[in-house]
Amino acid sequence: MSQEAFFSALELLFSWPTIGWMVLGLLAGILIGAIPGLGPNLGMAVVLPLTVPLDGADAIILLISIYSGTMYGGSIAAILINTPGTAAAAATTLDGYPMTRQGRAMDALSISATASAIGGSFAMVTILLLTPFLTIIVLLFTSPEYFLIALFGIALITVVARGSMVKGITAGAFGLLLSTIGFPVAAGAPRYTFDLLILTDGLSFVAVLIGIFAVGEMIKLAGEEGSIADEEVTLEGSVFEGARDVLRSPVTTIKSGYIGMLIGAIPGSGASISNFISYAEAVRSKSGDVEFGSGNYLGVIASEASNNGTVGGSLIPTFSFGIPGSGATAILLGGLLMHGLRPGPSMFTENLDVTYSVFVALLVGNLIIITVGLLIITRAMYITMINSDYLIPVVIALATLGSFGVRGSWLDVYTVLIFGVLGFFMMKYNYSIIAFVLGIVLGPIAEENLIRSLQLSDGSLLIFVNEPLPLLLTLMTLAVVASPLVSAIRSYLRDYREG
Amino acid sequence: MLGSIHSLKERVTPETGLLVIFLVTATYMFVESFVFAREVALFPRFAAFVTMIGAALLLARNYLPERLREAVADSSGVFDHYAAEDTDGDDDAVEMGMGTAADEDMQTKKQVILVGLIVVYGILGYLIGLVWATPIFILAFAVVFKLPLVMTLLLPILGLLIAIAFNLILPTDIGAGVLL
Repeated sequence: MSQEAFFSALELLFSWPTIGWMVLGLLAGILIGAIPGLGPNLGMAVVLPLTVPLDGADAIILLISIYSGTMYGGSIAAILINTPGTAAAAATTLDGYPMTRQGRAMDALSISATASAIGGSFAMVTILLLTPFLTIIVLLFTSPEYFLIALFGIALITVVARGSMVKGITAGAFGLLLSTIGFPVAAGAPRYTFDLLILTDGLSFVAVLIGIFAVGEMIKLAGEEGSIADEEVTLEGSVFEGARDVLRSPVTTIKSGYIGMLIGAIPGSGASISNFISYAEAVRSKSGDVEFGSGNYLGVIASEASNNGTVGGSLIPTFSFGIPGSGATAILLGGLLMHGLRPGPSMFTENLDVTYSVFVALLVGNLIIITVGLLIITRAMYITMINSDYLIPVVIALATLGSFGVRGSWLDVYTVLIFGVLGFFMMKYNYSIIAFVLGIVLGPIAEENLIRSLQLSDGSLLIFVNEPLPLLLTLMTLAVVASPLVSAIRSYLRDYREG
Repeated sequence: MLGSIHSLKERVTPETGLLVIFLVTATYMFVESFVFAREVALFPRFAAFVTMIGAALLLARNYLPERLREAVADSSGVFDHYAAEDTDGDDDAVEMGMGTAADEDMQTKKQVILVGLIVVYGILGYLIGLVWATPIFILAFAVVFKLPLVMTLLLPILGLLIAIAFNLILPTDIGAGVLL
């Protein structure tokens, strides 16, 4: 069955217009990623409602290609003007920009394109090989397991949320709370609708995501400089040398790709973390031998290979359980649901060809990245000179107009605008957006499966511990929830002993 | 008197407003959950309770005992020493040109103005339809943010074309408002 689905996926991907959407997505992603202040979340959020007329597979491939393209695109500004186009390229500035200062800008851009392609490709090949095993695991999950994995995803907020844990939990709980508006899964009266028909279906989490990641980001961008690059940067160096540097460093490249893949699979993390972890690992593994932070090509390789690996890794929890690995995959999840593709067993059974086509699209996309990346190197500078002030009103308009494409409802328009403003203030005061997104996305999954599980067990909670898999998930969730508390208690006892 | 007004201004920030929104919303939803059947009341009640506690702790953090205040404000995420959260904006871009308090004030002012424009856009869209509200919003943005004349003329036209395109593609009529 896997083989058939795989070949069916190849046929799907290499047919028109699917291949066209993939290339368009990659090119758009590279452009979006290269402009500081934009990024994958915004690009995907704005495009999402525009995918309504498309076929499901085409829409998902377009969205994932944008995501993949931005991972490389973010490195362009990072290398040329010391300003990462996306948070996923932040570590690239540490050695990429010094390379530019040393007259090796083209080397650095070439390294970025090559490392992105190779790191991402290795991650995708691994995921493709693991898919049959992933299928077996996913098919073991029933309602109790789905409830527990959703709970685990929500519990991860306490670990993953950056800054104050209390802020992260509050944001996550607020997201969970908002997801309860509307008609509950179990039959009964609608909740919190004020008897308005328009609220019966609840808030669209897609509209919330568009609001936060498009409008909210534009409000944030409005407070920054209009155009990042004031003048042209002279592009010197060698494209060939850069590519050769990557090929001479297979261990760093492949290892970084896998680090990205593994980090990407953790809900709530993302490429902004993986690029630093990968960079730190490269520094650690070469400590004493070479210096980092002053133009070491290994630093660029580590960062760029990992962020493309993250894209593939983040698809694992998204496709398997509907748990987004990042903001971008939360938007991708919205795309899946909008096109009638439900994460979980169906993505590995009747829709396995769609799943494979997305994975193969990422693999093929990495090859396109290296081709396009190496070709546009000499023109890359101009992208960073685009004045983002021109983009702000257009993006807000696109997001607002596009929100109508979600359900054709004015509620979604106001959801976009309200959560754009709310999301901006949450970001400004360090309330974890990812925690909020996890809450609003996972809430319905968790509640639906909780109610089903309790119906199956006649109300008994033992259903969550009476089999090995649910017991394991329960223990994992408890461990995640307890770990910050244990940490705090240990810290308190240590201070007490010392004090 | 002036001292207490100044102190109030320092303490009541937009974050306070955000927390009040969380607290009020959660309190309402918590109370309302007692009207629902038991099965469907569990989740919202739990989520509302956690939100209420979190928001209350954060609102009152300056009045908490030191240890508790540290625990509430503490950065304790596993990935805390790595980069900022995976959102698209990048703080390095801010650091490039913005270093003074005056610059930060200007930043905030621009953001507040944009929030105001967005609110007006929403209201205008409801009144006259988004097809007309969109170019007006973009024109207002271009004027207020002092974009070059060419862009001030071109961007609203682009906005109008985009809005017309959406009106043609989408099944809903976004050109009609309450007044038009």
